[in-house]
Amino acid sequence: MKYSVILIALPLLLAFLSMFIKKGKENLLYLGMLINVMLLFVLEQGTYLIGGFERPFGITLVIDQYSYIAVLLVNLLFFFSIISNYKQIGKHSTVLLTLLAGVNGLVMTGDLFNLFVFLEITTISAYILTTSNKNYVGTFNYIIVSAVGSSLYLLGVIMLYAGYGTLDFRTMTEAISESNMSVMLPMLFIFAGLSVEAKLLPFNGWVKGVFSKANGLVGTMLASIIATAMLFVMGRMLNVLITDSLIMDLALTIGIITLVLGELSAYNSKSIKDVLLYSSIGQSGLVTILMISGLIFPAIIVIINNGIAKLIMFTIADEATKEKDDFKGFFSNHQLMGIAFTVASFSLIGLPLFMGFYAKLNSLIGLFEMNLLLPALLLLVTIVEGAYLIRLNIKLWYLGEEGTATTEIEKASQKPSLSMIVATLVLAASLIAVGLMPEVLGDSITDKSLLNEKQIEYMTDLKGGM
Amino acid sequence: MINLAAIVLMLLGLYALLTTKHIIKMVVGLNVFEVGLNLFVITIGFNKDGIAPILTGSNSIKDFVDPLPQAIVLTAIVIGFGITAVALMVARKIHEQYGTYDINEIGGK
Amino acid sequence: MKKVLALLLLATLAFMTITLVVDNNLLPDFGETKVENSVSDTYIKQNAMGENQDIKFGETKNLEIGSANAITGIVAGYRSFDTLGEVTVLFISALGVSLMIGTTDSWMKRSQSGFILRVGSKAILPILMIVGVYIITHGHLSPGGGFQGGAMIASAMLLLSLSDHEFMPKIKAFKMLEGLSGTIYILIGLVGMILMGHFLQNIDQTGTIGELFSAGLIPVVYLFIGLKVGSELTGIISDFMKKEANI
Repeated sequence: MKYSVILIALPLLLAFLSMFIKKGKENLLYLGMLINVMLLFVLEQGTYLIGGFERPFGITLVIDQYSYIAVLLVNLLFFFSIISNYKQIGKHSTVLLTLLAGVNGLVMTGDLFNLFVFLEITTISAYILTTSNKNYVGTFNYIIVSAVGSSLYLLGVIMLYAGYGTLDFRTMTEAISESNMSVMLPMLFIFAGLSVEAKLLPFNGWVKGVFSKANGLVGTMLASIIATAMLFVMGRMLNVLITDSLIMDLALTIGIITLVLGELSAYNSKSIKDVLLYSSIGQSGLVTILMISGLIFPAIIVIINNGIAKLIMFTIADEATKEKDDFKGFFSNHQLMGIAFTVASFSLIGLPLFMGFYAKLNSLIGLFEMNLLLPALLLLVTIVEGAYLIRLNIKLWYLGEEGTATTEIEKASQKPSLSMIVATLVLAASLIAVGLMPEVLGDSITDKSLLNEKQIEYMTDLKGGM
Repeated sequence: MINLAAIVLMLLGLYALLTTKHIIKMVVGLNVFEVGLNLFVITIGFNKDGIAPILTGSNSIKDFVDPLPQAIVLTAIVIGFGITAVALMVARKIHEQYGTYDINEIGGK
Repeated sequence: MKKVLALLLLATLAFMTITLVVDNNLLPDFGETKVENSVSDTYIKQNAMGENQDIKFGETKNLEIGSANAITGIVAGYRSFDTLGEVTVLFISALGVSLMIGTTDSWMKRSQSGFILRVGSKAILPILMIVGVYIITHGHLSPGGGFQGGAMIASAMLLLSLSDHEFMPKIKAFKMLEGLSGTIYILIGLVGMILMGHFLQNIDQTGTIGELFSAGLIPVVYLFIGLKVGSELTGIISDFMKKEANI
């Protein structure tokens, strides 16, 4: 199916239609989500022209290898997030539909200004989702920071437009590589604007206020779906558009600081949601480092691994802290959820047999060929990550001496939904399956000698498809 | 040089955002920032001898200024309006919760 | 201390930006922009699909967009997809505002409106409405369009609600109008896709440039944008006039 625009138009259509019905709006959400997932099976790679105008005059939607993975991942994660947290949808089904359209647009669009529009659709939907936390000060901070961020992005884009007379991604890239004008400042603005949503330092002050009280639905939407989409956008920007060496160095430094500080803050946090949110920040830093180094394939595996693991962990973390803040020994009553959570954390650490192992392994191999400092840093960070995640797992599994086993009545009252358990277990199984059979990700992962060559091929594919 | 004035306006808005402690004033600062940005975008397309890009019986398309920045600003204004509406409603909710618009006082509670 | 830091940061930003604007070859000098160097040149000449003859007002037929107002040609023609995103943004903001205020029928108490306001609004209202509709329907010929006209209609509603306190609670149909216009916008896009092969492609002949019934689907699209914007802005205004549900 070459009509990739349906992935955006259908959720929007259903969102508008949902104004007509009073009850059962969530059925429209399920419908849109299901059709989108089904469309993924017939999705073909290629460029779709909206309105029939050729590039650079019209807006294009691009499905190349890179955005194909992104679209697949984003829609599937959305699907699993909804079915495992369907109890928390409440009044937000219309907003979730626009969010789905927004993230699909973000990863597919081939136009710089259109990207801004989808960025706004996604973030405004996210603002409204976060109001369900009842932490309005956090939401307000989020609104202000991300509004300034997207304005900076627009400023950068319009400066590039003034210089090169186009808004199309690919035409702009070609024009920049042919000319020798200094594009340092517009690139800085674009990078800073996108960093806000990608949760990079120093633009991530909003994260704590929004995440620490987020329920399972909002947490997974922000930490898993929007984060995945934004990291894919960031990767594309850093590899294709942003070529200024000063900005690259700056972005690399920011990525390293974000990774280190994120993981250290996670180590120092007590609350389970705080641990997860700081870990998300750290993973964003890691992806930024890999993307700048040109290690696109490892970066994509890290994004996939992080997206799936964070979905499982945020869903279960919310279930664990729903009744009381003390989550000690929660899994002794809920073994199935415990297994899913533990698999996700092991995969995030990068233990063998799990998908995360290949993510970390490929990142290390790639980074070793550049210098020795970055792989050493990554190994150290992995140890910290392992320490706090295993500590968290121990806390969740064992009641300890002062802990009391929950009574039968309490057990019945906090019975989690079946679909949540099934969804998290399916995702956890997929992490193990990929860990056992990494060849489904592509040959370049197992065949290390081909890594570089494949990567160059991949890069040209990426640029050619844009 | 209106484009420099637009940049000054943007920086004024940013200064307000960075220093003020009042939530409504932060929304105002955000709006000043966005207005400055929109003005800057408009100046990108400006041409000294240009006319508005609307064809009538008495002009020719050769004199038009660049219409694309104006179309972009139209979109940016509407998006800015949407953000402002949501931000103001959140501010109202904050006032309902804490009884104040002052960030310092909210932090103390 | 914080102010000093903020000033330092802004001074750096100001220095960098102004240096870029004043002596860099990326941005053109103020007032020296050349349209020929950008895609806008094509938007003005309307030759994205192929060469065409000189455009003459009231004579040239069946251009690819056919809008005399080049900005409308971009907003509702070449970059119509952005506009779809834009109305979506407005749609979610209006929805979010009404979700936050909750379903409530209690309204803020306001002082009685004066005589001048009550009588004056009745005189101004028809003019406002007619000008709003004119601006929407002539968006492809003269300055204006769906957003501007929609805002005008919403301002007429605001005036009515200021003069008549019983007005806002009466209107319930606007949510429907919002959904309907959005749905029709996307359906127009889908029809273009089914008939012509591309989403939001024009399915009609665009007629003679400068006439009221020209520019293909642009007036139709703009009419629904106008209705949508008008109803959404009215919705936001009326939500702000409500009291919180839990007080």
